[in-house]
Amino acid sequence: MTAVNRIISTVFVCAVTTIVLVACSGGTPATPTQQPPLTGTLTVGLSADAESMDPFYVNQAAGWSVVHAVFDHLIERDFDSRLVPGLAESWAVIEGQTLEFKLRRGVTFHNGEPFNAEAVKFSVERMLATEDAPNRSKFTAIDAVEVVDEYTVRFKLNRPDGTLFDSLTSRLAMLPPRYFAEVGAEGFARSPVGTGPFRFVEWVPDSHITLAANEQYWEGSYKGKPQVANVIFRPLPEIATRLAELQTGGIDLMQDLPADQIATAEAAGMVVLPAETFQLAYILTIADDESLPTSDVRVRQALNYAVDVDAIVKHLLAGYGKRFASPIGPGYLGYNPEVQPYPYDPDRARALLAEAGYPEGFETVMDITTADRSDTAEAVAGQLAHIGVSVTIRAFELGQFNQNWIERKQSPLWQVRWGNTPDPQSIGMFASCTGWISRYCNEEVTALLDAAQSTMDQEERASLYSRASKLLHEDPVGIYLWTSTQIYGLNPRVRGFRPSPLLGIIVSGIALAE
Amino acid sequence: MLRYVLQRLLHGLMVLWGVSVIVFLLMHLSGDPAAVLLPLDTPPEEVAAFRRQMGLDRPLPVQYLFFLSRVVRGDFGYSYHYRTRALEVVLERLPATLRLAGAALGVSLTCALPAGVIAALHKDRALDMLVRLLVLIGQAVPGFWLALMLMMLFAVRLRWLPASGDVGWRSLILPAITAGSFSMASIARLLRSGLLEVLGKEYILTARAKGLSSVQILTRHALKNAAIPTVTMIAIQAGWLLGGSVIAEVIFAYPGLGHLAVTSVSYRDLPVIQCFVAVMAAVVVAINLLVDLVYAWLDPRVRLYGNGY
Repeated sequence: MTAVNRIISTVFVCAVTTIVLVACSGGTPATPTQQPPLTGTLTVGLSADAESMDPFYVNQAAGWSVVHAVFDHLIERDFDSRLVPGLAESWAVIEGQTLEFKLRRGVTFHNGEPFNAEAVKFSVERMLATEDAPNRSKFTAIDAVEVVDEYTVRFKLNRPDGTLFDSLTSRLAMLPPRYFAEVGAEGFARSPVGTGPFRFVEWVPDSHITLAANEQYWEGSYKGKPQVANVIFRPLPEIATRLAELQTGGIDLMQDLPADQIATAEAAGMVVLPAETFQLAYILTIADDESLPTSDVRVRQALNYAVDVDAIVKHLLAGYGKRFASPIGPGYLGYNPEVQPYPYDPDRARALLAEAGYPEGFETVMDITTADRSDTAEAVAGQLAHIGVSVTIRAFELGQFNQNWIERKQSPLWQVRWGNTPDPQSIGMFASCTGWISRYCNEEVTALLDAAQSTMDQEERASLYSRASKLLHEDPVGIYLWTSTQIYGLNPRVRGFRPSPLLGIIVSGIALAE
Repeated sequence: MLRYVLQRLLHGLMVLWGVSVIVFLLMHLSGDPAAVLLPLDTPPEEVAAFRRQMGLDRPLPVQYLFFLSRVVRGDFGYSYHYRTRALEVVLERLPATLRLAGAALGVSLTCALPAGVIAALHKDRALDMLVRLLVLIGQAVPGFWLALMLMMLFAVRLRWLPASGDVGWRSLILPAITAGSFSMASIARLLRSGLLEVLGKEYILTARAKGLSSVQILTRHALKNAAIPTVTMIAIQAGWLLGGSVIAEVIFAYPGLGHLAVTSVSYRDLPVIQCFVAVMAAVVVAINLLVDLVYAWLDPRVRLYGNGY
């Protein structure tokens, strides 16, 4: 055979073989359902149990982990904190006070029911009708929901509310109307059904929550498709127990690993992953009571200059925590990088105090909760003592602490951690003249915050918050301490875990290596 | 005998009623649940609406009457935290608690009974000293420390037992030892002293003179008489264990009633707290009733003349 003939023969044989193989395989490209079945169980250790399997009654981190696994929202906030399409492919503000959503097609609930505009209408109306839902108040701007067609829905608002987008990303899960009508609210809480990457299997309170993969989960979700067959959430409130379970392989992933246990976890071969959160630690002050030294802006500035935040973060928080200069912190909408945190300058602090009429300093009281760390409070008190401000610390149980705050009976200083979203809307609660738990009143700041709440234009909101940030720095609401860091502990076989800026752990997309 | 039983039953019911009043009063004067349940950034009108919906704005006596009428029908309202029936929340965890309390009592009795007998029989000698030392340690060691030490040794180091949870009988072992250690100490000491007192009595001397062996003396005479105070102590410990070995449950993440009680208090979940106390009171009353019947079996004087003979 000549060389040319051999080449032609080879090519011919290859071509025939390929055609035969393609024909025999059916010729269609591989669809998701032809992937090998999922295997493996991911066990996650939570620091508390979920309050309920009904997403409208969830308000704490543990519950959110389950909500994001079983349900989806119209808009989602991805791992980089950006607003991305969820069950809504796109949205727009039309005619000033109407919000229109174009919904994703081809999504079904775990029971086979289709996701469409009816489901959206039902979910929103149920939220508004559930008077004891903790997050209902975030949606009161919605007057009515109009179904335009099967995949288009409009929210008619009674006032412009720029915070709605943020609220929709995690506090209004989409519920199946037909299933809900069949089983009722109680039945739904016992056996929830959503569109999420995992289906609910069972909940034994205080023991475990079991979920199974939803193989039909829709494409394009930022959460990713499920990579394991089952997920088990185990509430393990005691830190030592969580750590012990991580070390023995009883759980694969845990949250809230204390900084001083990092060495122990790593010594056991575990992977430690710190992640920034949007939670900020403050010591708030009473600014609206003339009889108190803290009503003078110079005093509040002095307090900020007097605290060496970097030293506290280094020695008490193992270096985990960043400075911030105003309640509109790093990563928040409208974060203003030009506003720098107060430097540690005790001399300046003393000078300011003298200017304000307290050359010898003054005595005051700080409230903390028994759930919080007292060592950081004591460190701050110690540093304030250097400038003559002598602080007595009182500890309260959380419920009592909150009640004191609500009833305006708190001490001049009180330690808080606030914030779980990059939308600054909620700081108005304690930083505006009209905030109902506010002990601070700056007219300019209030005007800016109110304006930012009442526009739907996110860019406009950003510039308003940016200006407010500068003012809140110069006229501080309290002592600006540090950002909270969430530390996760992982078994080395865990792959693809990404910390979420939202409260809760996104379990979809996590795979287990063999 | 029948009169005795009826008397005890009536007594029990009165105790339950008294408990209901006290629990109701105490819980309602301890703070506003709305402040804890709703997120801090809820506007006051919403908070007020929530309180109205939960019935927290009616006068106390009215609230109590409603409470009592519902309780008698088994309706303890809806848990503020879990949003399901409070009775369900409590009863869900009751089997797990019963298992733990049973195991803890089992552990403590298995150690305490022989310990008490041995200590009494070898009074002031080496074995007695040893037993009393171990018992003292059992009573003095803080529960949480014991729990963590057990977990570190048996779960993390040796991997013999699970560190937490409620999967099978092996999960019960460490929590049962933790919960039972204090009870064991109390029961052993009481049995020892009760036995010593009885062994010093004249009828024991008579029995020995009659030619009965030590074992026969012990079982037929001494133990039965020494048992009465010990049985009381066992009943008290059982009630205490049922009420929740909180420390063991929290540390070993065991889904029982003690843990529920603590978290409900911190959440100001009134319905669940009230239901928990009511259920526990009922269980304790039942145990005491049982114990009263045991007294009647042990001591014929009770059978004939009632408890105050």
